[in-house]
Amino acid sequence: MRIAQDTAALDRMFFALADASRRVMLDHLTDSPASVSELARPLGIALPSVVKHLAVLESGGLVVSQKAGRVRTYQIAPGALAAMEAWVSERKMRLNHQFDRLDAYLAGQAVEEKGTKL
Amino acid sequence: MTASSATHTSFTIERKFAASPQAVFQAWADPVAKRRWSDCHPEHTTDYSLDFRPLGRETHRVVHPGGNVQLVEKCFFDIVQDQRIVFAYDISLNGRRLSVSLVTVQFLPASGGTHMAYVEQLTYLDGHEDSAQRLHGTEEGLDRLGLELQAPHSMQ
Repeated sequence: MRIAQDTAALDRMFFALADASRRVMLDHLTDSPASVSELARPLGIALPSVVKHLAVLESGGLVVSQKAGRVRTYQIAPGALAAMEAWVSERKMRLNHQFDRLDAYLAGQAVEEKGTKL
Repeated sequence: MTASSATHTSFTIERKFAASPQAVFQAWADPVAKRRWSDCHPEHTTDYSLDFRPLGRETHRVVHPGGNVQLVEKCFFDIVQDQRIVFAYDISLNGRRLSVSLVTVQFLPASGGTHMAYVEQLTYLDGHEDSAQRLHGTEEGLDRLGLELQAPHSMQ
């Protein structure tokens, strides 16, 4: 299959997804296309940082942009599978974060019960 | 791809925990325990309920700082104490349904604890803003890319 030749693209995609701010931006763009300033507002971070994040998302193949006049608008990259893959990757990442917390929770339970069970 | 507005995939996450299947199952079944590990932004949660029994529901409503309202609604179908949970859930954003999934979670005894297998079958819907463009996608990639790769944490 094409896994080998897609490795670099996958690396960029997973790198792009591995940041909370960028995932918030993706959430936002899943809802609707948005400008840089619209993406920056709920995050409370500076515009240049948002521009950098968007460049990472764009190189990860997750978003595309187009300029109309002086406003550049970003949207989720077209292509059903790319979009679904991004969605599923995000779901999996969130689930794994949850299961990390489940692991920590269970470890905490074990400590609480120490002496009776361990 | 036809004019269909739903695409499908499935994925598996496997994890090992240093706790008994009973303890891991209980962490899914008990509402207080469940929120401890499943809710990453409790400060944004406006509604949460868990009715853990067959045909019981779990509802989780989150209002994100940007104003987006995410609603996750779950219905449990099959529950085998300490062994298995089968549920379906959907995710909607601002009233638009984005995906619907069927999930089977199994808790198997393993050396030193529990092997948990989470299998999700997902239908990706057209609630997304750019769905019209997504219909141009082809199905050729279904068996490639990250869908078949284990997530970074899944092999432990």
